[in-house]
Amino acid sequence: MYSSIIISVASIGLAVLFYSQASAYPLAASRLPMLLAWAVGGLATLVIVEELFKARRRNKIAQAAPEAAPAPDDNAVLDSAMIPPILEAEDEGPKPIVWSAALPFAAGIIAYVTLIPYVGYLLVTPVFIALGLAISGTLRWVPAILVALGMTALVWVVFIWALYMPIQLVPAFFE
Amino acid sequence: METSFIAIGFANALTPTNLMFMTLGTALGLMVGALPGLSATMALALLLPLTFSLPPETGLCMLASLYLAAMYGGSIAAILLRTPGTPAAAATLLDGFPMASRGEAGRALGISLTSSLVGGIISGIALLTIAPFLGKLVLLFGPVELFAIAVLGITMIGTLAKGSPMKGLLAGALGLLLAMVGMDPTTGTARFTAGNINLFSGVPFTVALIGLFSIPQAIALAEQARGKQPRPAQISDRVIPRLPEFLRLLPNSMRSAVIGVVTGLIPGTGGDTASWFAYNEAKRFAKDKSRFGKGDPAGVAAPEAANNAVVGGALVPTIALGIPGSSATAVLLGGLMVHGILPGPTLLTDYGDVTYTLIWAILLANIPLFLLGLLFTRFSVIVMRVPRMAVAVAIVVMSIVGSFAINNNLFDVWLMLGFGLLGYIFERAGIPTAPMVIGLVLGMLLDVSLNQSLLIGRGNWGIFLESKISLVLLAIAALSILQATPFFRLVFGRFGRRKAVPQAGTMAGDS
Amino acid sequence: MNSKSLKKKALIIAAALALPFGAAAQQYSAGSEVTVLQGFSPGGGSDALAQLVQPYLSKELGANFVNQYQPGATGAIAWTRLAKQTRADGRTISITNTPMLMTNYIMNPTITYSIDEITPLANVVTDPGVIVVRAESPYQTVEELFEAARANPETITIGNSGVGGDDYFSTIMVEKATGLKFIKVPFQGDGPSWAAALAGTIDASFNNLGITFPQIQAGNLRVLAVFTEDRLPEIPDVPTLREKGIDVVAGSSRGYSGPKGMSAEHVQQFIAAMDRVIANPDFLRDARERAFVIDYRSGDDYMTFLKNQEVTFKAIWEEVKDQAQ
Repeated sequence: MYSSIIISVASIGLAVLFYSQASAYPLAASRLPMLLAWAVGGLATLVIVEELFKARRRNKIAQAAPEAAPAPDDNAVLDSAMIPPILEAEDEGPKPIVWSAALPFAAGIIAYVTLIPYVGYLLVTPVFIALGLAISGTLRWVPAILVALGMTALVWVVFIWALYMPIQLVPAFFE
Repeated sequence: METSFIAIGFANALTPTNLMFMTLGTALGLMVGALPGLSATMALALLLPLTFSLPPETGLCMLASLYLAAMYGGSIAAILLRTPGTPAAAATLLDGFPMASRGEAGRALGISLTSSLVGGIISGIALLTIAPFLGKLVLLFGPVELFAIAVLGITMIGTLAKGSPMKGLLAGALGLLLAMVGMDPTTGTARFTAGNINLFSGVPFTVALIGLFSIPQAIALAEQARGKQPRPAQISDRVIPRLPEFLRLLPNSMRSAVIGVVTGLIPGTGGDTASWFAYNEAKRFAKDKSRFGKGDPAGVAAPEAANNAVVGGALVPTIALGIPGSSATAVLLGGLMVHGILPGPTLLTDYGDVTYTLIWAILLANIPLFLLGLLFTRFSVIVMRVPRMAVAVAIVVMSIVGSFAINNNLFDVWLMLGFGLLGYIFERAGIPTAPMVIGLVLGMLLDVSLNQSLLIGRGNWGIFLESKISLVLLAIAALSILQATPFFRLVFGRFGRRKAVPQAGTMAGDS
Repeated sequence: MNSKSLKKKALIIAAALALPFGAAAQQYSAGSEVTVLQGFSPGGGSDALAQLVQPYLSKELGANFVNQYQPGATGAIAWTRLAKQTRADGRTISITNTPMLMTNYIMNPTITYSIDEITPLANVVTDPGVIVVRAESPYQTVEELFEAARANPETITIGNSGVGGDDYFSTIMVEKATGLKFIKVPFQGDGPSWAAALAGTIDASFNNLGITFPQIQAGNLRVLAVFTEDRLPEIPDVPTLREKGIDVVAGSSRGYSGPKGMSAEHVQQFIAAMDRVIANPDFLRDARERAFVIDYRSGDDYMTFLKNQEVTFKAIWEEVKDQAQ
């Protein structure tokens, strides 16, 4: 619940930023952006209010019957066998972030894109794939590297050979 | 004019090249559908950059057949793994997995395939008959009415999307706000570009789409990479259903298909909503309700017919009005936009040949789906064993290369990544991303039609109330916002009834 | 990518292998590869020109052309790259569209390239501007339209293809020449603009002949005037604005330019090849079939053409930018 409050606050910030920038534009260019900035700000405020309401209600329920919620009875066991995972997730709200996996993976992607203009696409891509597969323990190093080379070759054939994609292919100092 | 487009579209869809790409799309769709964690929308978004080097008709044939095939593919994982391959197949596993557990995996898959076929054909026919009719109606629409439609579209999608309606509306409004970036169409002012020339033509919608739909899924797969990969059940019995069984289930699949088409017509509802509706209806019509949930074939046929039928229904507002009914149809619209074909009423007039090819492709793609479906079903067991990390890495590589290829610009890759991380955080905070995509699509339409209307109406806002059509549409929009506010629910005493029937919680634009 | 271009691709690879590496000669030779930057999406007007010209040009020049699409900011992303980041070795040229090539930087200070940083090679086509109304429109002649605008200033709605496009500027040029005031309604391209005129949402559309010609032939749209020097053979009954005493000649032109500092050999060779293409009757037939109006100006002529437009548009924009709608 805190995450959606943080996002709402950030949205209000964005709305304020857009609103102040739009005030310098001619009327026709600023009309809709200003209107939308108000809409975003208003909706974000409503989301915050809604979340706080929910939190208060949850607190009340927790105080009224602290042990009722988690205790699984016979019925619940039977239910969980029948209800698909998607629905369970729906009831419990969104999945929590697994930082230990999400963070390095996201950092890996950012590093990958950062390095393309310097090291070249044909070098970074197989490295990214091989590292991803090997570090996660999915494959051993040798098969990981082979898979990485295969995947890169496939992308090369489709996008670079057939479609002339003008991306930095080799390290920048080779050119 | 209309009839000739229908004929041209038919001929276009049947050229050898287009048939070949339809088959290719079907094969990809089946694989994506069968892999848990990948949605049809994501596959469509990743394939989009590839199609723009193809003629528009060919690209759309491939995308349409992929969409349809992924709907069936999702049931394979649901039946064999007890995990829906796509959200739209969630209802299928209630009866599909029990069937597989007692050794009837083949029978369940066969039923799923044939009812998907029934759903797909009915939805194709519905699209072919409704769209031209709507197309004529839409010719009456000027900027004033288009503005009203765009407003209605965004409010409906915001309120019907997964999770809290307030959060949906917020995501939609954010999408609209981000669509304001770039040169404004009336004065040429570069808005919110921070002096970056790459943002002058706005946030490329297809780039945002790739980021929002693929990166969150890739990260989610990476998170599960160390977890145990579930083993699919074996297919030991025959897949092709026997004729008597097919005929016995036919009324059920046809009813479910109609439910699917109608659900698809409503913007913001997708395959998952339709399949739950159809499942519940099938149960209500059944003589022996106790067998549902324990492997009743009718419980497999209903959701599968419905989720394939949604495809045609959701395309009706997309094609006739340029308002995508779901995020998947938003991608199909993106498939048109990369070729410079703008959403809106001109889809059925100026670009009728391309649009009718797409409509025919929806109908004709059922043929490769059935044939390939039969072949693929047994092979799918191998696809499901592909490690999650391999899929995650492949998605990342494809999204980067794809977002670059759209405009041959590295800036777009960063933009894609930004949207991707944003989408991931939004998903984990319970804020749906589908309304944001729709907001990005509709933002431009909203801005252009607002300013055109005001120019034509000499600056008078009353112009939106003068047209009857726009008045009605705006009233519905206001109503749908009103019913989403917590205050409205407080007044009507519905607040607090959270744990209701399953479909209340599963409304989604993503399918 | 179709099979034909794949075959071409194979040929290019074979040729490239035969060519000694690094032999960056000062002229085009068989097998050299020329990248054509396009600032717009495939399938648009620039692409249509490329598809028409390049097969012929490739034969005359011996070089192979590879199209590279970098759409965005009405072409400014591609042209900034051409002016600022492209080596002047003749291996990269661009399709340049007027008036956008100039109006981009005239209207937006953030866009920093200018025509002084490019080498104009040759303009190939100009799609002349026209005024179209729908068949049921009460305005039979251009005089009637202008008379209505004179009687009720700022009521007649005129569609254009977007701010910064040729139709937007030609509307202002007509306004200046006649002293009239229209309501200028921008659309996203020429298609939506004439479609709005057809639907009666707007009174008239300032558009281009090549784009509206099918609708004119079908009798759905009526041309009131054409913005050329002389009447056109395609529409012999339609008067030019000049005949009516309004000195406005406008249209949207497309041609080829390279980066500044291209060697004289490259430029001469390119222009000589283009001269032969323009003289080729097969090419002219193909152009006619696609309703392209050839307006060939090469080298310095093209530069003068661009410079004149730059001056005109700069003056117009200086005047209207503060009261832009």
